[in-house]
Amino acid sequence: MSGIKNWLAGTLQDPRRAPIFAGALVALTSLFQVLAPFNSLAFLLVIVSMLVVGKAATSKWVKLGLAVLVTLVVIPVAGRQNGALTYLCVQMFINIALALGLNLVVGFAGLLDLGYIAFFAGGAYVYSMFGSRQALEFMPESLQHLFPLGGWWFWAAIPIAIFVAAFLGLTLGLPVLRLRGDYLAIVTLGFGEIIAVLAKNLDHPINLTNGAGGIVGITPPSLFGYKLDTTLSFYFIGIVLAILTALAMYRLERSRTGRAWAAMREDEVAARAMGINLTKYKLMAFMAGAAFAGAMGMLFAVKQNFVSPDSFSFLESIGILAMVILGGLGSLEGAVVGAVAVTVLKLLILKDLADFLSMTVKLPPAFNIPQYQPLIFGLILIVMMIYRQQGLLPGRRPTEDIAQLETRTPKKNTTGKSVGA
Amino acid sequence: MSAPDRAQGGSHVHSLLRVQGLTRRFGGLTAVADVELAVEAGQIFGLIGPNGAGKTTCFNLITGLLPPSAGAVEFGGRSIVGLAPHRVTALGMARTFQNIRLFGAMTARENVLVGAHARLRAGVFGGIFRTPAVRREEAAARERAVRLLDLVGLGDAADLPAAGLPYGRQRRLEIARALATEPRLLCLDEPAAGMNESESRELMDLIRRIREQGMTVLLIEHDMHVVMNLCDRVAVLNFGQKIAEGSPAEIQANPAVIEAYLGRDDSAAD
Repeated sequence: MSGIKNWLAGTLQDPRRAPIFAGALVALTSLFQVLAPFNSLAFLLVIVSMLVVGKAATSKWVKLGLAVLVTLVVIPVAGRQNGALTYLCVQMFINIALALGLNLVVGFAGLLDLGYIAFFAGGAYVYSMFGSRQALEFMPESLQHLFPLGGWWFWAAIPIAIFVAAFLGLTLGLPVLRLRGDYLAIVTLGFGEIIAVLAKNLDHPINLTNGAGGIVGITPPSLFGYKLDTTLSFYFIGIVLAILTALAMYRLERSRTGRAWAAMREDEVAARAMGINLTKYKLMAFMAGAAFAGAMGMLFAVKQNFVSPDSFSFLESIGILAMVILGGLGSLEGAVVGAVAVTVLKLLILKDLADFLSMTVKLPPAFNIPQYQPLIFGLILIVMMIYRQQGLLPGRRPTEDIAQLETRTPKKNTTGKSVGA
Repeated sequence: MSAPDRAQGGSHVHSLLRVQGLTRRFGGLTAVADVELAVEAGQIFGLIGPNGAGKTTCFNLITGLLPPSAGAVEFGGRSIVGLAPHRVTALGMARTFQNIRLFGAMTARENVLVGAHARLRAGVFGGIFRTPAVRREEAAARERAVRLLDLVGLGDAADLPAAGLPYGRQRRLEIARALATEPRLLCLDEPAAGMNESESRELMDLIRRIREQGMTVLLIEHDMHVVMNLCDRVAVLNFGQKIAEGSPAEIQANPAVIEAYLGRDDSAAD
């Protein structure tokens, strides 16, 4: 076992063998995926091969080429036969962007936010309300001929959704400026609930959101007259948005703003003494984190063709937080890997496991195995937190758990091994 | 309050830092009582006193981390009482902390770059889109950070996490970080604490070099050797009150100081 491990590590570090190995692995798993589009194991292997490519010692062009091959050729080809696969990937891209956005707030700036889904809901509802027949319910008669908005409005609505979500971030940020730790967490939790309750109850006196019934029939985006209403088109929009989010996060982390957030997270007193306006940077963290969620909310709305308050429950906020913490708080790669892991676990592995169990084990029909998915998911999280607290791919920063996050003890255990690179 | 004098540095009209009637009460305890200080541009000014005399509280009041109960603080001819600490820093006052407060998880270089925060302009959008202006600014800031790290002798540690540095180097990194704010007045809270003799000699050299670059230094220090060799002027606090002020020689000869402070230690009193 350790022999294989050593060989693998050696191969990945050898600049001559690594690209060949990574390429061969990707080719093999891709072939498997294309030949067996319905095989969950094939998809898992593709994901593992992508992780291996990420670790391999090759130029970034080789890595990029392999990633492009998988995302733009292999998955779409396999997805032509197995639509569920593409659908899963769309959700995965949405989750990646959400995890990256929440990582900004919790990981970079150190502000524990338990109501993050509210901003996602904001973006989803802003587009749904105007991009469906729902608009006819509340717009004045003279303007009704404009609605529902045409598909090209989707692109114009992205900055609007970003703006609305950022504004929601501001409304959350202002009252919690003086709060820390548990108190901050509870208020953000309450904020998430407020948005869900608003969505549920804004069907009277004016019917804005259609209440618990939700909004259906959302105009899909269109580009140059083409309607982008297939799962595959959402897949490509998702990829673009997720990549843009990751790029923005990467640059933000290394900018003056990112450093100010990190300083604020490490020591508020010292940060103030270094000229950082804490009020401004806390608000900016909430607003910037929210903005990314707003854009993804729109994609979610058109993908589902339906939004309802149920999609934006507290559990969804916790789900995103779980991705961030599972992946490694404060690390971009971690957030991505966490999002991929949780999505695949929830939508693929646990589903398959439940199907498998209900076919093999003869249980009374009242014992509905798919309902136990959250239980298994919870168990996995607990085990994870016991054995690998810092997450799957911790950032190069010393990791802090949620308790430490807010107490900011001056002495920190440094996990920074070889930071010089 | 009269209109602030905006004369350059206000050096011959005003002292660079002028503190009058500074008072801070914590409940029934008066930690700082009616303290007067005047630090002239270019000085190295020492603030000494026994443990618990109110020196650090004084620093916190001056730099805006704590609001004073009463009193005036003027910096460069302008009142800074009630200004948020980040505004005070932007005006040109920087400080270090007695119990080192570095950003432990960040590298030495990043710590210094955070210090430059007030002198940089890039915002969120600048950070995301990396406009040519932002790139230039960032490159210049990084270059300056390297120079500051070299100045304090941490050139080799730029990419090490601050928390992992040895104690003495952490102290010097704090000074580099404070210098990155481009201060006119540098406030050092016990910079030589916990240093051995050769380290504190290096530190004194560093502080002299900083003064040669045109900065004014206000320092709290316990190490009498450092204070007496380095400072142009010394003020002594005891129980929150200023009991003496003068040149190091005068302070050493002052009976009130000897009684309150130096008198406890015969060798230092000589």
